[in-house]
Order: sequence, then structure tokens, then C-alpha cells
Amino acid sequence: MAYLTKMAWRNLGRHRGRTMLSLIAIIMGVFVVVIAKGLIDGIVDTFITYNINLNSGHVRIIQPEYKLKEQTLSLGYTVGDEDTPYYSIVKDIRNIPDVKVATGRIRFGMLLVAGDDVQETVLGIGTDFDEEERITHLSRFLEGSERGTLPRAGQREILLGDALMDKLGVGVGDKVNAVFSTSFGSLGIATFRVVGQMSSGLKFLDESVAYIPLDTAMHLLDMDNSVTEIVVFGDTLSKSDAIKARIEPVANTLPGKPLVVPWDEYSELISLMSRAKAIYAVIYILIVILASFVVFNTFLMVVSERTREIGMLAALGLSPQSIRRLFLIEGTIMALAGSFVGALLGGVFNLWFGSRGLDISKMTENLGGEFLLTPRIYPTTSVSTLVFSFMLGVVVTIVAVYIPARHAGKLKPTEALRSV
Amino acid sequence: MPIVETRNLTKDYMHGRMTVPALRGVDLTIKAGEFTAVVGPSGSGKTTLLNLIGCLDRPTGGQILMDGKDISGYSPTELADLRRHKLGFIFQTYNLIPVLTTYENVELPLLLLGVKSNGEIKDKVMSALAEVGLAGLETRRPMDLSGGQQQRVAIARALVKEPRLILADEPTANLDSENSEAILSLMQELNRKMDTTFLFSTHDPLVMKFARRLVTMRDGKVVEDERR
Repeated sequence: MAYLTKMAWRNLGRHRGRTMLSLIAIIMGVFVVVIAKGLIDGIVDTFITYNINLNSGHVRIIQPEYKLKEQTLSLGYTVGDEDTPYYSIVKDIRNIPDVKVATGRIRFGMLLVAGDDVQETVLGIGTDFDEEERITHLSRFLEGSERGTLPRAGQREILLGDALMDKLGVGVGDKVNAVFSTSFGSLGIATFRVVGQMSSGLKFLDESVAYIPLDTAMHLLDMDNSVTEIVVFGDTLSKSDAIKARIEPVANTLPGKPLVVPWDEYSELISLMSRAKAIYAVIYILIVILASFVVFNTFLMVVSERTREIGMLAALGLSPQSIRRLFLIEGTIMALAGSFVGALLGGVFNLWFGSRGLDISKMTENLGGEFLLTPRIYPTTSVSTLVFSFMLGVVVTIVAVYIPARHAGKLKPTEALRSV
Repeated sequence: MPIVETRNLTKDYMHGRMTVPALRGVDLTIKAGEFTAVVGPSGSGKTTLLNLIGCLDRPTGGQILMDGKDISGYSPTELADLRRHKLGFIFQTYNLIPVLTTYENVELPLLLLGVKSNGEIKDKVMSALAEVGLAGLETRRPMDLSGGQQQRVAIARALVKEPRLILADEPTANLDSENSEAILSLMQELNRKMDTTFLFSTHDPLVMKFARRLVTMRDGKVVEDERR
């Protein structure tokens, strides 16, 4: 084996230009995969993370009817009632192993009115800001001296996005009137003081959401013991299935037998995005396969040029398997070196790119609010991406070399020795 | 027991749909220590016979006995094993491995045989190189050697594993007369000194002059077998 490796290593130096061409092809292929995967993972992870934090939790407890009519923001299908109040439900859920956060949210439709003529329809979210800070960290969107604070529990304070505030013509400290429908269907009106101005970059948050304290929402909407949903978070996303399985028995004892919906069933879009990585993996493989055509061609040429030499090695007693192995070792050295350099360069590029971000504001401008994408996307640089790209480069290149190597091993010594 | 014995050996080649017989029933016995040249016009079957005896090809019919064992039905891997252990080759175009030095080219058959001891390998390689008069050129690559020197390396490579039989296909075809004579003298000396068995195929009258046995072939058959 050692002599084969020595020969393979020296063979790589025989036509340096050609070896370099093959190496560059592998490097480029792996480099593009690292960048593309970093970018796609950055987009998908951002989208899924925001969706989990702002909407679905790792799992979400909702009534079956609510799931069907979620778009209508009905307050008629709630979790918790006088006999089994919301507070006792979340207390029980928080005691379940691996549950990190369990908190209720009330989603409702609301018309915000500022001044005489300015009004905007928004999604009102009543939430427990202490618990929310452990999940969405809403306060990070308040960075800056004049952006205020998060609303306080029990107060008529409201948190709005900067784009919404521009439309309403209000600033931090101003008051807005809210018109909404209570859980009994009667009209409710309340005045809130704007205490915080969010600037998240997310169209959804900045233009169309108004956060108020959960207890205030419960009181105004006549929902003292209930919420429209309870979102639950575990330590890690990977535990969501386990958490779901542990919560379901608890949910089955609650009025209406609410559903425990995992994050990836929140919407079709989420389901699609969560599968996107697998779909893109096929594209990454195709990229490297394209690059490996150069290597494949090079090795076809190499085997053709060295046919007489192969005949000589066979005459010396090198078995067909060893001849095949000689070319595979050459290919493997090339695959390892090319994939390593490609992954390294891609990783360095992604680190640099990840610190600057990619401006996709032109794209997000035209997207609906359900696309939780910030105007600047930050490619990720994970060890798993580098390992995946490296392994992909190595495996695909070796497979590409295998065909010419197999051909070399199958050459008849007499025919090989006769070749010119 | 002869080293090699062929019995009614035949070999056909296919040219399109046509079958072309290259050997038509060759009976030949090679004994240890012989210095034999197979001669005959082009297309007479010399190289085909050497290829079959050299386990580089498989016969269409008949038998090849090597050290008494019929190898006609051996698989490519088994034939490779036989070549590795029992046979040495010298070709008209030398066929050295260009990326290996003189020393490494000669060392290769020993590595293929699985000789592990570096000391043993070095002793054998240096001894083989000394026998062919190439001591001091161990680090040269084939491209840095003359044709005569390359053929000497090829002889050392064939010799180093002390094979039962060395097959030489037109070994002097690419050499001038001076180098040809020197190479043949060397092989003759090795044959006498080390009792190495040589089997040549050749057109070269000089080789015929050195050979102690001349096997003449025509149209795929042995037509004359002359011992001197």
C-alpha cells in the first residue's frame, strides 16, 4: 500500500497543470457549496427561528377549531376556562421535564387610531413580557436611546413597530386609541400609551403588530382565565417531539381537548422551509457532480496516457485491484486536498460575509408579512456545513475517479502493453 | 521438472467476425537454466507464445504447465500472482515507471512480493544494480538514463526477485549494436553465473547468435527446435 501511495503521490506531479485544473475544479465546487449552504441555511434558519419565537413555539397548544379558523383571529376557541384557568395550565406544563418556557398569548384583531383620520388595522398580541424576554428577546428591537421600554404588566402600555408608528404619526410617549372586539363580541375601546418603538427589520413586526401586556389583554377582551394559545419551548428544538409527547396527556385533560401542534406544522410555508434544506442538499450534490466532471475527464485522459505503464505494472504482478487502487489513491489525495482547501476558503468567506451580511431588502420589500426575513441576511458558518461540504467533495470526486480507475484495473496486460 | 511446458497450445484472436489463429498447437518445454530464443517472421506467433507463457494472456485451447501445474484456467488475479512470484519481464521499450528512480524501479517487484525488511530490499537492489553495471545511478529517473542504461535497469528489475523465468520480448530492438551486444553479454553472463532461465522472442540475428537454443516458428507453429 505504501508503494502505491508513493507512486500515486508522484503521479500527481507528472502533469502539474492538469492536476491543478482538477484541484481547482474540486476547490471551486466545494467553495460554492459552502457559500450556498451557508447562505441558504442562514435564510432558512432565520426564517424558522423567527417563526418559532414569534409564532409557533417549539410546540403550541390550541383548540382544534382555532387551528381551522386561525386567520379570523377568533376569540371563541380558547385554552383555559374558569374551572381550569390558564395560569394553572402553564404552571403544570412548566413542571414537565425539558420544558424551558410555557406562556400564553392572545392574538386578536385591533384597529389603532391616532389623531383624527389616521387608523391602521393591526394584529394585537397580548403577552407576558417577562416570559417573552426569554424567547423572543423583544427588548433587542428597542436598542437606541429614544425607543423606550417594554410595556409593564397591568398597564395600558403598547409596543409598536417603527413603520407602524410612522404610519400612525406617533412617537414614544404618545397615546393611541384601540378599537377591538371582545370575546363576547361586544365592541371595546381603550387608550394606550406607546412605551416602545420596535425596529426589527421584520415587516411583520414593524408594520402590523401591536404588543400589549397579557393581563391587560385578558381584562379588555373579557378573557380572564383563557388565552388563544400557549407556546412551549424546550431546551433545544430537537426535544420538541419529546415535549409534545409529554404535553399531550396533559392537553387531553383540558376542556375542548386542545391540540399540541409542533413548530413544523404551523403553516405550509414553515413545513416547506423546514424541508428546503433537504431539497437544497440535492442542488449541492449537483454542483459538486458538475465540478467532478473535470476530474472524471482528467482521469480518463490519465488512464489512456498511462495504458502501457498499466500493462507494465500488470506484468510485474500488480493485481487488477491494486491497479484500480493506485488510481483511486491519486483521486483520493486530490479529493482530500481540493475539498479541504475549498471548505477552508468557503468557511473564511462565510465568516467575512457573515459579519457583514447580505442586503436583501429589495427582495423582502415585496414579500408578505408571513415571510419572516430581515432585510439583511447573515450566512452561517457551522462546522456541520464545512464537514458536509468537505465530505461531499471527497465522496463525489472518488466516485468520479472510480470509473476510470475500474477501467484501468480491467485492462488486459497484453493490450495495455501494445498501446502506443 | 521443466519450468514451463505447453501442450497443443492454441490462441485465436477475433478481428470483427473473423477468427484469426495466432497459435495452432504449440508444444514446447523450457527447462531451468536454458537460454532460448524464439525466432520467426512477423505474425508467426512469437509474441503471442511469450505472452501466454508469461501469464499475460489466456490460451484458447491446450495447456500451459508451470512447474507442473496447469495454469490455463487461472483467473486474472491468479495469473497476476504467478507473474509476481515466478516471472520477470524485459520489453523492447524498457517500460520503466517514469516517476520512480532507478533504485525504486528495481525495488518495486520486491515490494509487490511483500518483502518487508528494508535491509534485505537494499541488499538485493544494490546487488542487482551492481550486476547490470548501474551502481551509482540509483537516484536517477528513467528520463535521465540512456536507452542502454534503461534496458539494464529493466534487466535488474526482472532479476532482483530471482524469478524462475525471465521473458524478453525483442530486448535489443531499440538499442544500437554496441549496446545490444553488451546487454546480451550481460544476460548470458547472468544465465551462466546465476542459472537464470531466459526466453527471448526476437528478429535480431545477434540474439540468435547468443542463444543456446533456437525455436523457429511459422504460421503459429514450431517448425524447428535447434539446440546448440
